[in-house]
Amino acid sequence: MPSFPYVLEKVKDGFVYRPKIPVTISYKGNRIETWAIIDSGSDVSILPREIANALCTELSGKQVDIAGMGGGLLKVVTDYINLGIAGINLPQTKVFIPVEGSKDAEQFILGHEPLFKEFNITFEYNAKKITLNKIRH
Amino acid sequence: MKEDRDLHDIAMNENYQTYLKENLEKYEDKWVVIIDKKIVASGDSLKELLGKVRKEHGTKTPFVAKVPKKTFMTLSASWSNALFPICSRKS
Repeated sequence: MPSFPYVLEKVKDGFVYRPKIPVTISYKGNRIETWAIIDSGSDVSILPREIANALCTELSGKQVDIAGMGGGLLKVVTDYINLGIAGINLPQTKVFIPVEGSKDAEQFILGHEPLFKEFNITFEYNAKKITLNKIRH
Repeated sequence: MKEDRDLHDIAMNENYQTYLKENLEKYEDKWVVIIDKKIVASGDSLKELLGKVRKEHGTKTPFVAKVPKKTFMTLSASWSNALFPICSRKS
């Protein structure tokens, strides 16, 4: 079972540990590696527009609204990427991308769709590790 | 312990490990591009950075990341009820 360490990051008053994991994204021949933050409170996954633009995604899907903290709505379009997590390829993974003029996502957020549907995830904050176990469908 | 070994034997790529180990304070709120365990570019536009980097490094897969601001975060995103009403009343 692949495990990943929590990532220690600075904030103004000290440090925080965040549940981030490395991922690979490919889209029509373009491929990058980056990190994503696991968000168990998120229904969906949100790919920053900067990354989507760099991958030359089409940004032409149907526009919908996503509700976030504080009640604000984020205008997004859907697209499909090939996502690699813990050595497992998840082809045609649906992601939401903030549209031009809408606030961009600060990071790649992995929510229930697809992460929690594809993996059993164990958060061990005290041990500072996250374990992903692929679910066999 | 085996568990500890599992944790440290993670098949994470080297560029990600570089990202975790580097002092990135000066790149706060910027995109960084890492190739061959080195930060090769940084700036505000990821697309521009990758364009430049690809000229120098060809088809090597870059690791890219936006260095977070030093603020606490709350996340979570959900479908809007406005689009998918859970219940509706006829007036």
